[in-house]
Amino acid sequence: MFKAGIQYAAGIDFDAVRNSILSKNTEIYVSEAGKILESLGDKDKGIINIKGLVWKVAQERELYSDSVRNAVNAGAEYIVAETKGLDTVDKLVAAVDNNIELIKECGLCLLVENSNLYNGNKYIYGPFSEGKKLCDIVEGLRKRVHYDNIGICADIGVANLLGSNLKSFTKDCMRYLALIHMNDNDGVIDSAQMPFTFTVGRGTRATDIFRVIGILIQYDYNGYVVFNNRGTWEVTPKQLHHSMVRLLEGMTAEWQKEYRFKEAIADRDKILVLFGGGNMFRDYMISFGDKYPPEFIVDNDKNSWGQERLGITIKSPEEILAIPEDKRNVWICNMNYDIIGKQLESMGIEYNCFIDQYYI
Amino acid sequence: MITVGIQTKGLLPEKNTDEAFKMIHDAGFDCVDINIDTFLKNSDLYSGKLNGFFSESMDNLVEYFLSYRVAMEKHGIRASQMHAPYPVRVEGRDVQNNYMQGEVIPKSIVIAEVLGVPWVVIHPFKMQYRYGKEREFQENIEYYKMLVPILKQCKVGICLENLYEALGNRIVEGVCADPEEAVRYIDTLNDYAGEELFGFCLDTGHLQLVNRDPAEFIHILGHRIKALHLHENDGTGDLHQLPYSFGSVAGEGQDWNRIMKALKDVGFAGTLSFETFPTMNSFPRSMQKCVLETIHDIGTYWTTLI
Repeated sequence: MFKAGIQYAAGIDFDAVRNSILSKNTEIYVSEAGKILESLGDKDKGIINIKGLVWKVAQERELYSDSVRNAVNAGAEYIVAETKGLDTVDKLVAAVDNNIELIKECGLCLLVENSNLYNGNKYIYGPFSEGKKLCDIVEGLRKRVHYDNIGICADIGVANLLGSNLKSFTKDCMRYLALIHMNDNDGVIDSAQMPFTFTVGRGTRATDIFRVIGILIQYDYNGYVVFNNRGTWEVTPKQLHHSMVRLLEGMTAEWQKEYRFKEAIADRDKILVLFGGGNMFRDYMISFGDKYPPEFIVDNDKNSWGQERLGITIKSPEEILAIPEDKRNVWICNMNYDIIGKQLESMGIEYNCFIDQYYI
Repeated sequence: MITVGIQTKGLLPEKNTDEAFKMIHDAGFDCVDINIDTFLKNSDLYSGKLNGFFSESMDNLVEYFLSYRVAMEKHGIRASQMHAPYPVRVEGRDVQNNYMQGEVIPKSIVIAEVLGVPWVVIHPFKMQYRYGKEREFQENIEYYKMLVPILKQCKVGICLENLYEALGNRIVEGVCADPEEAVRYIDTLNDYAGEELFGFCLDTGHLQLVNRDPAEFIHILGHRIKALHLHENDGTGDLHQLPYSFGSVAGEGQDWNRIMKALKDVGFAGTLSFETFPTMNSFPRSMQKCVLETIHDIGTYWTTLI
C-alpha cells in the first residue's frame, strides 16, 4: 500500500492539514523548515509528521544543515532534489557532491525529481524529463557517491506539461521510484492544481491519472504519494482549504480501495466471479486474466449462457447463489454499475466494481 | 435568505431518484436545479435524433415526475429552478423545431408547475450569425410571447440565459452575452406580459468564455437575475468545473469574491446554484459524495459574502 501525504505550501491553512490523515506524511521545503518546525506545538506531535524535505537545488547550493538535522529529528526520511532550473546533469552532480555528507549523516533518502526546460514559450524536454534518463542519473549518482539510498521522485504534473505518456513515464521510473508528487494542470501551465479538475467536454478527464495509479498497483508500489497542490492553496480561500483537503482524502481512499482490489482478486479462498462478458471483461483479462482468472462470468444475456469468452464460461447470474456466501468474490465488469448493483442487491449478493480505467 | 443548490444532471436520471435526492440532501443542499434536458439531450437535437420521452401524454409525464416530487419532499429539498431541453431551434430542422417549441417546451412548463419550480431556463434561439441580431431578437420575442398564457396559467417564470456560439474552433458571444441586450429582452417581455414572468439566469462559465466582466454584467441586470449557473472553466472550453480549480496564484481563475459582492450589491436573494455536473464524471465514482460536500461548502462560504 502506498503512503499518502501532503506538501505544505506557503498559504495553506495549517489547521486544514492538521486535521487530515494526510498530515501523517507531511513534506516541507528546506528553506521553510526552520519556521515550520518552530510553529509546530505539542498538540501537533504525532499528528503532523514531517516525513520529507524539498531542496531547491538551483537556488540552494548548500543545504541549511541545522534545518535538515532538525527536520530529521522531527522524523524526515527523504529529501527531494528539485531539479527545476537546472539545465545540465553536471549541476545536479555538483550540488549532490557538495551536500552528500550531510545527507548520508542524516540517513536521508535522496530523490531526484523530474523537471522540464522552458524555452520562453513552452515547456520542452530537458535532462531530467524522462524516466529512463532519471534512472541513469540515479545509477550514476549511487556509484559516484557510494550511497544506495538514492531514488526518483516523479512529479505527474511536470510530466503532463510535455504531453508525456504518464503511464509509461511512471513505469520507466519504477525501478527507483520512491515518491510520486501528485498534481494536475492543463498541459500548458504548471498550475499544480488538484487532480481530476482538468477535463474536456463534459467531464472527460484530460490527465491520465487513473493509469498512473493503475501502474503503481500493478507493480505493488509501496512508496509515497504526496499531493503537492500549491495552485489549489493559492487560489482557494483559506476558509475552504479543509474542503479541498477532504477531496484529497477522498482520492486517497479511492486509490487505497483500488490497491485492495488486487489483494481481493488474488484471494484463493474465494471464488472469483465477474459480472459482464463484454469489453470491460476483456480489459480485466488483458491486465489480470493470466494471474487471476475468474471461475466463471455471469451475464444477463441468456443467449450467452453456456458459451465461453476468452476461455471462461458464461453463466446466469443466478449461478452465483450456488456459491456459499462467504466464498463469493463478485466484481461488476460493466459500466452500468448502478443498474447491475441494484440487481445483485435484490438477489442478496455482495459485490465490488472493477474500474477498468486504471488498467486499460 | 440565500440558499445553496445543485443541478440534478450528473446524478439523475442515472441513479435511483430517491438515492440521488438523498445524496444531494446529505451533502447539505437545500435546493436543486432540475435538469429535464437530460431526457432529450442537446447532442441528439443537434444531430436531429428525437426520442419519444416528451411525446408521452401529459398525464404520463406528470406521473413520472411525481417520483421526483415525492423524493424531494421526503428529503426536504425544493426545486429553485429547472433547465428545459435545448436547443429549442436548430437551423434547417423545421419539424424538430416545431416539436420543441410546440410540445416539448410547453410540457416542460407544466412539469415545472407540478414540481413547484418558480423559474425555468429556456434557451433563446441562436440565430445572429446567420440572420443578424435584430432578427434573432424579433423571433425570440415572438416565441416567448406565445408562452405567456401558459406561464400565467402554471404560475411559472422563464429565465433567459447568456449563451455562446462556436465559430470554427473558436468560442464567440451568443444571444444575451451582451448584458444590455439581455435587459432589452427581459424588459420587452415583461412589459408585454404585464407582470414579471421573465428573468435572467446568469451563467458564470459562459461569461468567462466570452470575456465579459461578471460584476458589470450583474450590476446591469440587477433585479432581473432570478437564477444562477455557477461553475468555472479555463477560459477556452465550457468545462463546468469546480470553482477554484484553475490558476496557480491568487487572483487567477474566476474572481468569485467580485461576483458575490456584485450579487450583494444588487440584492440577490435567490439560490447559489451550481452547474458542475462534469465533476460527477471527472472525479472517481467513490468520491461523488465528498465532491458534492465540497461544492456545498463553497456555496455556504459564498453565502457569507453576500
